[in-house]
Amino acid sequence: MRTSLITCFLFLAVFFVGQCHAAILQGIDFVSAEESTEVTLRIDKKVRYNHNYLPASGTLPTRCYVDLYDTSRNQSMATWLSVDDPRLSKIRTGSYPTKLRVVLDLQKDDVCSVVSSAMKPFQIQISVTSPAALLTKKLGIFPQTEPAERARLPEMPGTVVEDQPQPQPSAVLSDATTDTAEPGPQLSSFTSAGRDEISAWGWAQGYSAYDTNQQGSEDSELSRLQGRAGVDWNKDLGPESSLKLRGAIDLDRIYYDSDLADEETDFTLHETYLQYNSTDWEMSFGKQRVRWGKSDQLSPIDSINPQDFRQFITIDLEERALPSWMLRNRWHGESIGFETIIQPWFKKSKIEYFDSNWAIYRNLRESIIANPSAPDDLKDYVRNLSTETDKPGDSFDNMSAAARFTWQTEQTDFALSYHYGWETLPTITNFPVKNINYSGDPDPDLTELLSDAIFTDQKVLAKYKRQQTAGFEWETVLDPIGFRGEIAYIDHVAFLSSDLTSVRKPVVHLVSGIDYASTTEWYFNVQGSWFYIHDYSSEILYFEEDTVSLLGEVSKPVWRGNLEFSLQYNYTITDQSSYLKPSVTLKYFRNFECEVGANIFSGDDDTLLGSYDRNDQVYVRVKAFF
Amino acid sequence: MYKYLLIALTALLLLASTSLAAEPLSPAQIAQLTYDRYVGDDMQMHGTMELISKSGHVRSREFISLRKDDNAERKQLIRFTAPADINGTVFLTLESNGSSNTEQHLYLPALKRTRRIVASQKARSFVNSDFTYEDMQRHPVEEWTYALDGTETIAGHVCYILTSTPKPGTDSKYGKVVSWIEKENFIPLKTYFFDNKGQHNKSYLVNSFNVIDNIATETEVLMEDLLSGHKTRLKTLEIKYNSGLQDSLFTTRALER
Repeated sequence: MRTSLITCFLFLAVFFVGQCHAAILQGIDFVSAEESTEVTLRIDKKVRYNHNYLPASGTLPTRCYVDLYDTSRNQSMATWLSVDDPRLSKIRTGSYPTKLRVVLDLQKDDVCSVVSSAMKPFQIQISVTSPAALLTKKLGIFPQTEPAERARLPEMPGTVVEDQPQPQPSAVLSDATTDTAEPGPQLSSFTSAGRDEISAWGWAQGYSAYDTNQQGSEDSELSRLQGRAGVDWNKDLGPESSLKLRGAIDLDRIYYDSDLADEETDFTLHETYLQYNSTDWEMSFGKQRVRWGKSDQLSPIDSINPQDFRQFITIDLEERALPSWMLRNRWHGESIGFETIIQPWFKKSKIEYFDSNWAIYRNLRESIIANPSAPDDLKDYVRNLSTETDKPGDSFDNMSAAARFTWQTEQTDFALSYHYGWETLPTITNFPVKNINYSGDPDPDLTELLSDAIFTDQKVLAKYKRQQTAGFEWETVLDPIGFRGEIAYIDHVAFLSSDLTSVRKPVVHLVSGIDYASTTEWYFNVQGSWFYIHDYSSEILYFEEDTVSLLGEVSKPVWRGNLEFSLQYNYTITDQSSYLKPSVTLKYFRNFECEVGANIFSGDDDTLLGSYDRNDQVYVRVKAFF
Repeated sequence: MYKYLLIALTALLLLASTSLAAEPLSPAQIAQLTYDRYVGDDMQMHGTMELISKSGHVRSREFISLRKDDNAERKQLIRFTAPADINGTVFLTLESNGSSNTEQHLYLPALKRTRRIVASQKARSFVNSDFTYEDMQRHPVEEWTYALDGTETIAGHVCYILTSTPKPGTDSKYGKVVSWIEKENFIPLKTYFFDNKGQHNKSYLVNSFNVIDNIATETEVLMEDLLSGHKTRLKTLEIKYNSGLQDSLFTTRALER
């Protein structure tokens, strides 16, 4: 694995270096016309550039120059060129460590205007004209007043004055190097048309969590290393259409200190897709993440992608989503839109069944193994428990599809959606120990639990089944608060029951809330959730027929956003269980953030949040972006 | 006969307009001319935002800003491109002309979702800078009262000194704003912000401006919070006017591209 990782990163490094070669000035052309002289710089790719104007000084004539960053000169080009022209006397080039300067020596106090075009090769055109001609053309990129009178205002007392010295040239090729005075601001015309850009991005993150209660059988430590590297290529096909290609890889290594847990290292293709954009529609195919729904942290409509549940809700909803293969079409009208998604292949969520604080069966297996009163044959039995997952095969019948209709008024957004897909959490169709009545307590009384148990040699069977979700969402602003929410009807949701298999029931889930940001930068988010299980049966674990909860966030950035305090909360009113996540995040250093926090669960053992009560932990997360 | 009458009427009109032109501008007219100052039908700009602490620590961000004006509204989109931790964050503001009705949307790439955000909290800091959301918008002229406190020359540019005071009911965190407005281009070169107690707490200064494509353009501005000593500097690196930006660039779906 390590060798393949190194090979992959080396490949990426070589790829990026290959993409990032310095531009080359391939040639300079000039055309002398009656009213102007046009000088064209031909460069093999788009470059960043500045230009400026210098008045005559000493023996030096009036000059215009253009600095081409990260550019070198074609070696066959002369360093200077005498020009037979009424406005120009000479064109010179000079190399600096980070740029190439092209200087136009002017015959008179004419002015220059500079534009670039997205043609291939990239071209920068310098027009040398008399001031009178310029006034009629109204180009005005260079000052219309004398350079000495250019609008350069004095700094206020106490303001930061920038005097950036010019770097010395690496090679003196002509007296272009004497053009170091750069009065006033330098501006170049902006060229976004004809965009053909490649950019690389990525991040690396380390996460470590320690249980505050290290008694019992739970794993007391969790470590996770993640890295993601991607490349985006954006190309304009015309004034109203463009292509985007994104490719990203993901490295994810998670480690629990539980004796039975496996260390897992995944090296996968992350978001990788090709997208075509036009004015009113777009189409994309590949591995993608799609976020539907308006509410935060708990979004019943957000069912398109599978999720990574290996840390339960201790990581944010958006970070749990896993990209999956799909063909996505979006059409946008003036105030309405329509979106379709076709998912040709099923992708399952990442779930632990045993041997983690956050597994479906929590640490039930390890609690039996660690129990000194449990007989050895029982310990051997549970040690050999295994799980078999039955996931849909790759066939036409197993495709998923979704559609969403959106409409927008001046102050409100609405959407109706429907998803014919697969459940995110699988249905447990078989548990090898029969005739038990489990209460949900992660550390149960074994004598009572197994008094009438029948032990079989079967496996835990997890089967993904069809699920349909219909939803409605809204978002508006009721000054000074934001108001948003969503309601979903889900035809079948799998719930763990007292015999440790699943029962499937229809569910209605409403999440709606408000948020408010004060002028002192306090942020409040309060949402209410109502989760209703139709045709409720009493053997369902952790949920009542109606579950009502309050969830949200309070946060406050201080020190100009360099430090942020946050408290995420989730309080289930109906069973009085809760989850609190206080954290503080340091963002002082560029492209680096460090978060320290805690995950605190409380409540009775037979409640969803309370069943994690023994899993309280403190954590530290560091993330570097590039 | 008609020809002579026409010449006479034209001469009278010219005389009248000349005398009108000689009339000094009223404070409200100066405010209106500043509000209506032509800044291009559209604009695209690449710039930097530097957050400078009192101790001199500088945090720099790069952004692309697009703006388009039509008769009904001003549309503005700001997309941060660097550093990497905020790359892809986009603000979209749709500001109705002549009123304080503003619609704002925020796209955070980590959330993969565009959120409608409350625009009425104008006193909030814009991305932790010394600019507030209010500072990023134009004041509707009729919501303020104006007084002219003479003229002053700044770096060779004659400026009106215009004092603006919000009318009762106007949503503003400021009690008074004094602006030095350059006479030729109606561009504010310096502005002092006062709180409701009359304390001068912020200063805005145009460090440089250029006439680009015949439009007076601030190319480096500085906002200083006098209470904390913190400063924010905005620099223009590249700019282009009137390139025919499409309306589709200023939609929520465009934020996600």
